[in-house]
Amino acid sequence: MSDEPLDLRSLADVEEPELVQEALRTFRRRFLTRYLWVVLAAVLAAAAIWWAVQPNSLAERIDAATPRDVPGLSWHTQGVDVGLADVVRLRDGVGFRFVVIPRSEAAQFCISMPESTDREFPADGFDAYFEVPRSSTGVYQATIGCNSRRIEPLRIDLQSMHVDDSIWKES
Amino acid sequence: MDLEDVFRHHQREIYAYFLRTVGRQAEAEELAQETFARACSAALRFRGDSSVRTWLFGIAHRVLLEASRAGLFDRPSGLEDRPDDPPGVSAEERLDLARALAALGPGDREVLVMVDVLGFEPSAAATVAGVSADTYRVRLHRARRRLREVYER
Repeated sequence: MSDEPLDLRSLADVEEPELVQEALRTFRRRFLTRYLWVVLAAVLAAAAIWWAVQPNSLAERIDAATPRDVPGLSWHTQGVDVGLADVVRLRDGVGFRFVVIPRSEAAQFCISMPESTDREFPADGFDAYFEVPRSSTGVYQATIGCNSRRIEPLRIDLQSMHVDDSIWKES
Repeated sequence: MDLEDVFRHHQREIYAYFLRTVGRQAEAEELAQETFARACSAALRFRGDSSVRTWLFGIAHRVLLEASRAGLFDRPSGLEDRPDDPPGVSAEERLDLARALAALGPGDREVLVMVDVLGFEPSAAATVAGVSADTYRVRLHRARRRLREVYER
């Protein structure tokens, strides 16, 4: 057997098809697809982050809203102290935050606003949140109750309290 | 010279590399296109520390390896290419060489295609394959011996 390698150079002569154009098309398609996914993922991530930081509950919306006013109004009635801590402009109404502090641990106090369209009472505090429609007069009613018994109505006149009418006045 | 011109300059030998290693035209075309598509992506990272030819064949070698792992060589190879015969080589002799090459294992085929078909220096072919020059020379020697055994049967 000869030690000389066989001459295979003739096998390099092949009739090649057109390859480069198709390869370039494949590259462009992959490039667009890959970067579309990257852009889409970035947009979705940004949307998810934006959504996550948006206030969702009534309490979060009222705590984050502007403009706002801190009336500092308070009532002291049978066994309970009530303070109107915040009045805020919400997108579709007016937000109220009350602080209800019973003087006796045994009593179960509650507060309500008859016109409210939404309400929230966080379990771990004394806050009570309400959303009510805007009005032409700025006058609202709240009611304190104890053990399901109505104790005292609270009249809230935002106009006479000099709360800015951009917060409560219907346009 | 732009990228397209560079690719066209090497198109024939990249295709020959796949055709002679794989043995099937359709797959050789597909693998060659894949090589050029990947080369487009990799072009920005090419630092010129090897020749363009070596760089392209490095990509082709990796494409072939991946296809091999996906079962490319599990099917029997064919001799579908019947190109025009260059002067000095009879059709029959060329066919015999092609058949003998196709009868070898894929590893032997690749080594012989790189050096004896496409004319790479063994050291350059070793760079493409990612092995030492000595290892490559041993593989080449064994492949040549096996080819001659098959050819002279």
